[in-house]
Amino acid sequence: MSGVSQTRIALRNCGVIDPESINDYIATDGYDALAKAIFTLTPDDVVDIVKKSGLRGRGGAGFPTGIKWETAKKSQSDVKYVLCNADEGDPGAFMDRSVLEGDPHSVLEAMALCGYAIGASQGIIYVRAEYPLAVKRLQIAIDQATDLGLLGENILGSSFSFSLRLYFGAGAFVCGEETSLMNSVQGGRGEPRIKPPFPAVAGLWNKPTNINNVETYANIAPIIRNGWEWFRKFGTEKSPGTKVFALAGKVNNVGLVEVPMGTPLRSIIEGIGGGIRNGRRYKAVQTGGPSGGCIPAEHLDTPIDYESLISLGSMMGSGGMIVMDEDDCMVNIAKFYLTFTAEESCGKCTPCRIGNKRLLEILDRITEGEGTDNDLEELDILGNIIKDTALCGLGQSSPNPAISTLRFFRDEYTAHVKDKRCPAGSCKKLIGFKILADKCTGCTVCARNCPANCISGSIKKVHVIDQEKCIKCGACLEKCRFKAIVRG
Amino acid sequence: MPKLASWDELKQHREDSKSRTSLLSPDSNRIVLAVGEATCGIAAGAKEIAAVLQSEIENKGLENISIIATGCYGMCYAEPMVEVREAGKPSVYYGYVTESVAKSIVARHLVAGSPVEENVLHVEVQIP
Repeated sequence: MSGVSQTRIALRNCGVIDPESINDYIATDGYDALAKAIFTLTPDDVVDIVKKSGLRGRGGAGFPTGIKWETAKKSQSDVKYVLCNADEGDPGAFMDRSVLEGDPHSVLEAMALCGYAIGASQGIIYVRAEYPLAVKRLQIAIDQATDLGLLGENILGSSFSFSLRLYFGAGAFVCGEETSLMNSVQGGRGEPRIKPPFPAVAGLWNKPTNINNVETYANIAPIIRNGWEWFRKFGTEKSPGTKVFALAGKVNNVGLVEVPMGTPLRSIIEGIGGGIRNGRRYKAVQTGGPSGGCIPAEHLDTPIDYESLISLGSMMGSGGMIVMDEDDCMVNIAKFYLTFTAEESCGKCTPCRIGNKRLLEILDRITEGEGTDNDLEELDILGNIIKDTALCGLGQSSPNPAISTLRFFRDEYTAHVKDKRCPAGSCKKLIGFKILADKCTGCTVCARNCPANCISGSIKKVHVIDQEKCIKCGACLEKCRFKAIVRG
Repeated sequence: MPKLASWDELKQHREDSKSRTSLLSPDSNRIVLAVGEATCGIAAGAKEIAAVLQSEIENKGLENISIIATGCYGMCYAEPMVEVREAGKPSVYYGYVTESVAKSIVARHLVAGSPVEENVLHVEVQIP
């Protein structure tokens, strides 16, 4: 595809095997890493390999996976748990769904490996109920693996036992936060806990728990099978391996890509993504979903890793990438994400519950042309206070879309506040349409297509828009063949 | 199915599985039609396409062809996608497959042996 090379580790079997056939998975060396670990490696060896691989959490924060495993292993307890966070909730993200739908056994095998490493015999996959196909294929996979003795009691005749079950998320975004997720599994409200203690010490039912994201697990079996040195051949020193991105928005080739860490954003968007649709100009890419920020054109050559994205005020997040063109208003985009997080805030801590609401009100005012200079200042101050004081990752990152767009697209904010103008032409209160008398031929197309019936004029006479009745939908602008209708 | 009781049994099961999976061994005389049936493909009509392929193959009395569902190819924009796998030949990936394209794939690629060039998205020797 387009000369930019992809490297498929997490997606190695997606689009290759039949996900509902365990024999397909086994034929591609499936469950060999588990067998290798059980029969030739000690739990310490497994932890050591994962640690040395440098694998970091693919759910967004980038915490070293090996350290999580080591902590969970060292925690003394009769019962421990292995959890999989499959509560992918970022708007526009579908990496985990594709892994679960295309290669469910890779997650099962990795969780069993983790159980072997940390000394757990039970695992739970917390999967969102909105992914019915993923749920179905996961259940088929669990049943098949159990039937073949690759899960359950005495796996492959050894003394190691590990069983898995599914738990369905009910649609709350905050349940993608690990401690809220555990409360949800316990039947409680999806509200975060104060950390420490970390899950690896006291997690599900206060027992030591290892929790990783789907994509993180999907990397484990190849690492155990091929060794940590192999894994480190991909990616960068601090962020080894690959990352899956869900490419969406205004690019030609919408889809799923897996590239080595350190690949420049430009290669993904212009190379694999095939550039911007309809020949429009690139404006920004939103990474990290509601927790991330927007990256402008001047930073397109940034090699992607956890640190570089944070230095740009964004974050890796789970890997959603939404590409925007010149028709997207950055203030409106910030408002979209904040509307989402304000709605999904669980309400437990004040900075998130009230702070995000106030932040959203400021953005509302700006997009409606009622913003002031003071609002811009307040947006920055309040945003940073929420980041510093919120209890969990949701609140700590929710101001990012607003803060990052204010940083890179301050001129757009200023245009909204000072000139009462939306440069992208998307904030309805700040735009209007008018007909240029010298270009209008009186063809009546605009009047016939106006859903509000607010364009008047007879055949071959100049038409006029009734600004009072206009709903600013832009249908007339699209239909006019003589470029006689303009914004303004 | 009896449980596998050792690593050796797993290895044996792997060897036994190879001829029965969607993956072709080099000497296989089967052709596998893989249809991308993740949510993206299904939403674009992959299940209907798979049904068309199935009935076309039956109508033409073709043998040694299996249709399998696979996951997301990553090229969601080009769904529904169909991949033709033949041992010893590079896989041919078709994109934007409609009912008539599906019929052409069977008539031209499988029966006459020449790919439906206008709908070939991508030809690959091996997925790395």
